Amino acid sequence: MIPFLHLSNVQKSFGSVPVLRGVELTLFSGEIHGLMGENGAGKSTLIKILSGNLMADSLTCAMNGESLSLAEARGSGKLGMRFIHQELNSIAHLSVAENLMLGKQLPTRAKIFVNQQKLSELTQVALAELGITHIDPKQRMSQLGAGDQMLVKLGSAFVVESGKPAAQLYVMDEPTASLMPSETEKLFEAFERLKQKGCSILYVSHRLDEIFQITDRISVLRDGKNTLAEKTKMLKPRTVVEAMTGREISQHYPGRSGILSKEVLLSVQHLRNAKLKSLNFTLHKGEILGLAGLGGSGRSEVLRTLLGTRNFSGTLTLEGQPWQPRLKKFWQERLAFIPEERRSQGLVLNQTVATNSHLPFIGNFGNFLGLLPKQKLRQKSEEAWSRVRVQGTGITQRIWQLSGGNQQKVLFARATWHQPKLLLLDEPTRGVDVGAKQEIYSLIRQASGEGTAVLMVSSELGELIGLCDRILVLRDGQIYHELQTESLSEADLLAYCQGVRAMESAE
Amino acid sequence: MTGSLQLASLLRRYGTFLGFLLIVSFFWSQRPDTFMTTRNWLNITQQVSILCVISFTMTLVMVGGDFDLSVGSMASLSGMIAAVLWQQDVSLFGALGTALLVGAFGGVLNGVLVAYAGLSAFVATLGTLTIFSGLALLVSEGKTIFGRAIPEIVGDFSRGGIPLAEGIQLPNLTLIAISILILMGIVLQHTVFGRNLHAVGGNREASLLAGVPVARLRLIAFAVNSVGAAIAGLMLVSRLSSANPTQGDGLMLNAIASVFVGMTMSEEGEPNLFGTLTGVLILGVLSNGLTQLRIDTYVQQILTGLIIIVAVLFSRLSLRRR
Repeated sequence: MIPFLHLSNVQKSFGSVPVLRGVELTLFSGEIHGLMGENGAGKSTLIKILSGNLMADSLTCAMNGESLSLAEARGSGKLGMRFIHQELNSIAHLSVAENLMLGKQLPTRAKIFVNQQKLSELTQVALAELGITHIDPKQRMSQLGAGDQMLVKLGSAFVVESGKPAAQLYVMDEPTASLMPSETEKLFEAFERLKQKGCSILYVSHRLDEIFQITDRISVLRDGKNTLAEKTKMLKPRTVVEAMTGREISQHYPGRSGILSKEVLLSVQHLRNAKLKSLNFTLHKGEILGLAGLGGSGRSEVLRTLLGTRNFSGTLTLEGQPWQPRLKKFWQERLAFIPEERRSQGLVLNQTVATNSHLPFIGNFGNFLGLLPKQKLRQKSEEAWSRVRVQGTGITQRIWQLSGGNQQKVLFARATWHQPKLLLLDEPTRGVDVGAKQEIYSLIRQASGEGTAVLMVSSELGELIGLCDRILVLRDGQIYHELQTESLSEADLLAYCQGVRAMESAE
Repeated sequence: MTGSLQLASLLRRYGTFLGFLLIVSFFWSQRPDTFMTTRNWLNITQQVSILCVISFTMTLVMVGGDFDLSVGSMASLSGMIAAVLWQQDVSLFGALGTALLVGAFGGVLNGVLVAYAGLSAFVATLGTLTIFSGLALLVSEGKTIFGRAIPEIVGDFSRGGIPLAEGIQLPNLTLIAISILILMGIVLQHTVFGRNLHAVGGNREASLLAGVPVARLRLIAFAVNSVGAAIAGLMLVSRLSSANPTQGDGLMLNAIASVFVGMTMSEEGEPNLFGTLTGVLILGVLSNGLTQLRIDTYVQQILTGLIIIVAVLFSRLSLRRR
């Protein structure tokens, strides 16, 4: 059988970092193809190359056995594609119909005026493909709930545009993330109808149960390479998970020296808010505690609550004293935090390394007039800088000139400036190259060795297992498991996060 | 490669200053006898001193990432309030103090609306612009106050100064502008408040997460700026020996323009005092020189607008090459 679309030897590097290293993707007509892989495995890069948002460094492309370039395939109109991206980005003050038709040719009267009636009809037809009749095309997007907004976005893939070729390939990146089960079912029924018409669907999801429910074949990427491509019915969930997580190069994680203290630093009891359902846990001095879970499981929400930016109910105790977290006092209480988004939440990009490393603390240096002792401040910044081993020209360098890894180290210089009691880390090695990762692991371990309790959220399961003393697994805002990390495998941890254990025992 | 890059970066940082020197040499060549004299330069500094004060404090607000449209009408209001109080036989300093207090109050209002109530700086200060303007007209009943109502010492102040040589003096108004420049320079460079304000302007969310009291800093910046506007309004009354309910209104656009022109002179495109000073001087020299060449003030206005656009455009173009 000749595949409808066959990509092979797809290569792509960002700078000197290879992201795709000879990836192959084979799509047949009338099949739903699951694409899986951990964060950073190269899924979204592959999709962006397919959509034309990124150019591959090299690739070979064949359509129905005929070899041609991807640009030709798109240009010829033979490869009609529809993309649904993961992020929910709708324009709140436009109508449902306008959102659905965004970027498409609007139906007109006299070539000038928008034909509102036709617009509504087109919208209704597209939504009906998904079995949706309860959304009025004239409604404003802002009046819809998140689930309905997602449905409208999905609906945009089903719009029939006059003069455009019918879509042959649908690429869906985690479309069910904010859908109710019943809505998901409707979407899957629509998939079936597309399949009957001979269309292919490339379906990206982290949800193993869905992948096994609807796909015909599964491809897995890891570190920019294919590790699995097989018919779904030949596979077991565990095989897929192992293909996703097995590492070629095993990272070296610095181990704990000495015995873990029994002294409790932080105790959390019955912590609940809109997204968390009664969490209980304790954190010991010098301990590294990991929070694992899929996106939306409540991992970051725990950190945000401890930071004092979320309302909550429950009892928090810090060093035996009742504790009410407040952002303004946070750093002054010898606590520290490294946020998930380095550039938007962590750094002041147009400022110097020094300014960024002492940002929370300069209030402590001012005299009664608020004047700063420049010499002392510089000296302290130099100390912090040398502690984290940043590669750069010095503390007066502007921070945007540094690489991601070095920027992250500056945030560590900030976070360890005052030998914190507690350090909250949200994805501490995101977007950081391998070498810098290693150094950041050492910094985390070093802080814990000096008695700092670390609470760490990460999507990289390997680093959670390698660094943490214990891991809490969150799902739907609840702690489902508390795991010791000795002899825990990544496959096991991923299975816990996804709830595969429950799935397999139900089989 | 690196040579041309360095040249581009030098041009970007000093292009505006170069432009300033070009304007100066043009007027010098056109009016060799009168333009490049100590007397004329001291005269220019006096002419720009009022704009200087507002622009320097505006730099503070803009370093924090905001801007303030209400400064011009605040200048009108503060001058008007002082004049009305003097008319009612309130003491010299009583009236000055009240005018400055009104300035502080107006600034706090701006700050509360923007930093605490979360209105955009544009909307909030556009609203207060209109309010202050209306208040100035209300307290004056739309009339200009002049003559004996204004204490003599007020007008004398702007004519006085520190004698430098025979017939040449450093004007008092220039002295005020210089002291505000030094004060703002220290505040922005050497105080906790100033350094934190740079961080807030650079990345508000990151500053918030680092525990910086973002809202309070923004409020203080607005308050300082509004007091600056009130001072400028009083300087205007002194200079004109009269108070008119709309006399400060033109200051706002020129102040924001000066800061914008000055922003082209920093490496990272941040507002900075040296740049703002250059911006003010460009506007001042242009007005002084063109008047000496007997060119229409309307043409002056058109040229001013063009220069602002060219300066900012130029810095953007060379920035993009990076």
